[in-house]
Amino acid sequence: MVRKTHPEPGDPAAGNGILSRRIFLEGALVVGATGAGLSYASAEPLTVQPWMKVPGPGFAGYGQPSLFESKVVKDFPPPPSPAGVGASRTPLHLLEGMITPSGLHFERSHSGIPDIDPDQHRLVIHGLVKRPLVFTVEALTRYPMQSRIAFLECAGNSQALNAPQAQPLNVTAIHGLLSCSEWSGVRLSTLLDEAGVEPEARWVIAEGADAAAMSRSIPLAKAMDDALVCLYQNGERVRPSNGYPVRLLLPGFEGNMNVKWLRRLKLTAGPAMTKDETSKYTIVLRDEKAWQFVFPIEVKSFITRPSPGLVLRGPGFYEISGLAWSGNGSIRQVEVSADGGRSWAPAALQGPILPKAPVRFRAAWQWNGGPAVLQSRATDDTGMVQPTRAQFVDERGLRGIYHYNAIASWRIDEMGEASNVYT
Amino acid sequence: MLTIASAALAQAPQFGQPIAPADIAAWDISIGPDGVGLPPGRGTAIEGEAIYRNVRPVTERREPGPMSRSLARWSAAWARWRRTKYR
Repeated sequence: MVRKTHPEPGDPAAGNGILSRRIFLEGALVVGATGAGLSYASAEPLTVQPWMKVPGPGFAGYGQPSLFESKVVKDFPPPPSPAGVGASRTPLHLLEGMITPSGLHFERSHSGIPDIDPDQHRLVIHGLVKRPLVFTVEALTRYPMQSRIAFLECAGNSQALNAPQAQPLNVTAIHGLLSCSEWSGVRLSTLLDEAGVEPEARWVIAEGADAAAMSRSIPLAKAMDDALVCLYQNGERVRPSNGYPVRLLLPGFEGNMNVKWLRRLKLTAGPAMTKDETSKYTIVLRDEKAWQFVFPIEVKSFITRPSPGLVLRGPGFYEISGLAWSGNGSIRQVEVSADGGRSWAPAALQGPILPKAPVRFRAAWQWNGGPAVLQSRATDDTGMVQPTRAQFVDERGLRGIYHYNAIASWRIDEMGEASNVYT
Repeated sequence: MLTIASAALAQAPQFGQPIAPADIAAWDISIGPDGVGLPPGRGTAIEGEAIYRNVRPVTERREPGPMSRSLARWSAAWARWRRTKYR
């Protein structure tokens, strides 16, 4: 008998059908070796379709998705919600790769989307600076720029998982306040150096030009590090829903601090203690204490596919796919389980792996048609690992709402339907 | 990271326009946690609550779920703490 000297791609790497990630490195499976192919009946004869005979419409100034993709839209509370109530969520289970199309980038606002004339918009830097300065948008475009791919996640994302009973919700409803764009703009440190930061300044109050004038206090060290005053999103000017004409990007920091429609930066000795860093965005713990100023988004991941609404059509080979990210650095590894966390195997990571950007992970799964519980577990390059839900609840309780980053679970039943569960 | 080399600054592009603090006043709505920056006047949280309820219309709400209840409890506790601290 020939003994295998090394595992084949089709060999199980973890329980309940998780296969080795080497499938993604070495190409196609050998059909039959894993039973990976479905036995189809012969296909029907090919038909000549209308679009193969008749020319279609001509060019358009700004391209749109196919009408056949009209289900791929953001989800938000139906009217008559007043403007600024709730958020508009990304249908991440219907997307691939790591970039979110600009029209599908999630949004949260407090007084709707302002209609800002870029010629009238100004950015002022004042407070503890030697030279208070005001910038037009045109002036900002003349500075040397940087581009970086970065995630934005609302600190309140996944808060539905705080509910004591697992709610029958899908990816959009649970995890939809996460998106990723390539952001281009001017380093905030460039502008602060021009204004001349006084030595006693420790914080920057960033404020928006919308009617709510939402503001947050940002540590000066972060402002001088990698903060970006963004003018472009995925190559074109920032969308109004994401902060046109100027928004702040604080790579890795909770979404609320990345102030949109940026109009004012005030250098101060202490934080302003605005509504959104006292009443909101503070994490209530078990003992009536609360964490304040929890800035970086901690390491996190979830599976986009399979997930609720995406039905598996019978046992066989499936790709388990999802996203992993960390506000503290780069993703080091993602592991996947099909047996509710009893056994794990590494997933393949789709490059490029960038700091403070999402990584698409992929795992191969041979589903035997029986019940399964799918989970993903991410580790970042600081060594931080996603906690289990039990560990998360043990540390923080369930009243914190924000920064929920515990391992999430999808149960797959014999009908191939996924649902949100707690293990 | 806070040091500025004046020689480097001379070569860097500078497109900000100087502005006098008085000309920023219309935008400077920052209030410090100690109340610095507030316009003249005074009131208590109890008085403010009555004004707030008059100005903000009450919208119809469904029966709050478990999360809303815990958030409501915490908000009430925080409001009580604020009333004792800033009387």
